[in-house]
Amino acid sequence: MWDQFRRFRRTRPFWGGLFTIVAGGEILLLPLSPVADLVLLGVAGVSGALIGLVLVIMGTFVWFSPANRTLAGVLTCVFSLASFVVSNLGGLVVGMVLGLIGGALTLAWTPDRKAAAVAGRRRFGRGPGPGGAAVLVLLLGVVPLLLLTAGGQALAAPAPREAALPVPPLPDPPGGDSGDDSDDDPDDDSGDDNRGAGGSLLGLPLPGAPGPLFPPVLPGLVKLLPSTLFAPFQPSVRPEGGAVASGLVGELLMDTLTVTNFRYQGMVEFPVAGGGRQRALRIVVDSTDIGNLRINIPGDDASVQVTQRPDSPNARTTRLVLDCTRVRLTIAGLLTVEFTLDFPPPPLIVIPLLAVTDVEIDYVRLATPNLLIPGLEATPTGPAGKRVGVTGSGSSGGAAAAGGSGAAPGRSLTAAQADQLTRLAALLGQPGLLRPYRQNRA
Amino acid sequence: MQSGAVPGTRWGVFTVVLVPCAIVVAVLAAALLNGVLAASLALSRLPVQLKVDKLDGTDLTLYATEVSPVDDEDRPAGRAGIGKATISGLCLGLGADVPALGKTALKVTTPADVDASNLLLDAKSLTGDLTAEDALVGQDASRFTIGAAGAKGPTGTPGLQAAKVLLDGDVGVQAFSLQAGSLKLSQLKVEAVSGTTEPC
Repeated sequence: MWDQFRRFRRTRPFWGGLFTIVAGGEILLLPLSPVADLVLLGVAGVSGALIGLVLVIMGTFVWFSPANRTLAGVLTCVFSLASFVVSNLGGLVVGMVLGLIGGALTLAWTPDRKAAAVAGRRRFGRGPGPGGAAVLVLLLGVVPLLLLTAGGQALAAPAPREAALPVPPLPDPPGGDSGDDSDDDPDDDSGDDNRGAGGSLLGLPLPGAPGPLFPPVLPGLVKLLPSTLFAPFQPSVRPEGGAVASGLVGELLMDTLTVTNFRYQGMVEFPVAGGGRQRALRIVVDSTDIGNLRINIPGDDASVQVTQRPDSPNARTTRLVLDCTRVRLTIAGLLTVEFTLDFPPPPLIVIPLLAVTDVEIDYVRLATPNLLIPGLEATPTGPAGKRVGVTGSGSSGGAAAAGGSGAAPGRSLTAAQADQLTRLAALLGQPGLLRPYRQNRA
Repeated sequence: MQSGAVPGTRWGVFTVVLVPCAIVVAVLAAALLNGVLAASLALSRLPVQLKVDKLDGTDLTLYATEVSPVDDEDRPAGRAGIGKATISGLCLGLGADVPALGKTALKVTTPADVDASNLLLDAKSLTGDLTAEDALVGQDASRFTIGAAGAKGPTGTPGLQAAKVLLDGDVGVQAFSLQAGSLKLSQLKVEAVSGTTEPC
């Protein structure tokens, strides 16, 4: 047994092969990233694994085909050198060094040292002389390596963008088609017409159009269109191109919130990536100042909780487009108002300055050109999120929609809701209550 | 090994082969450390610690996922992707609890700016002052319109995307894994630190 192994060792560049295999193994195992991720990383990810694999193959190859040791040795050296650039600095140097030793041992091995010595003196007579091997390594190594790295860098450039970022909302042209492909809601069209007509009649700045910070508003700070109070069908807003919802609704919490030019634009329906459509209320504000922001980015397996370190400055955004299924807020520390898909805010309401507390929002989507979160802390945690307002995605979506928004989409006000709305309107009509809440407290 | 035997190693050849290799390594190392060449990095199963003074990047994405480091136990993680970033004041720590040595860590620092592309990390915590442009929360992670290669997530998971991102203040990242499509480093300083797995 031992003699057999001894014979095996002596008839081939055993140690060179062994070093090479170990080097390849080390380079292969070091990343230990899921193969899917490596593939997604593209050239950079795959080439690392490829080099490890080639080294393992070379080491094995030279054991079973010692006659080809020159080629195997040179390639081992070349790939070891390449690993330094493309694979975690050659498996954190260890793999590269092992590979170079392996390659050099392989090249240096000879079945007959005396004959080789004679051949060496005869220069390139039999097998590679020392100089020949070195020249081979340099020629085969450096040139392709430089090409490889240059190519790798070109390929590692970020993928081209699929589309422009769909953040700036593109509103419907007034009176235009709502663009609702599903057409499962006959009210949509009438709602859309209503919004378009109302918008132009009032001379309100069209939502999304570049306009002054404060649009012209009627005196009294708050404008409620009586007609919209009495006709509670909803205007609908076309979602931005490229906007795709996930079907999961996340939670957005704020201790204090001060916004300018709060306006409710209507219902918006997003396509859901897994099928179906996600309904949401669209609220747009021109700026926000948020005390103690907490956003949960939900998920079925895990979620990410974004919070602010205690005593951090307030989070701020410029124009914020907030698509949500529920908003609950407290005005002046007294009146808690809750809007849902069934009980949306009165449309075409503009509140130039609104300061509220204890805000709870179930958001579908938040979009803003500028976001500032001082003292951000993102912590992954357990599953979170709920399914609300998803329609047309098969059995689960239907059930969720029924649970979330009731059997019939709310088109008429209950007595309690009407009362709440009246109280809100009365409150909003009193400018004294609209000062930033924190100033009131201080 | 095989002293005196006829088959064996010609140590002269061994040396002569290793010398040009060493030269190439030296040239490559110099190129990498001076930012001429970009290295790529893919590390996992080692806790990765990142501290930076400032990260100025594009194409940020973030969504929740589950990873199973070391003990094959699923843990929640935030999968963050950054398309391109310029990082100043980088300190990268790779920690491990080595049986014989105890807690040991490799600490990589550089005073110069680091250019990185296609960064992907599974974070277990991320802190810092965030400034983002064209930020969008709630887009389905499989339909991100921007992002690093491989940053897209599964259908049905919402995520955050931002065209531009600036992280400063006290930026710290604890990650289960870190991958960089390319990393241009210069004036690199590597040191081994014992007694902690979080050297930064």
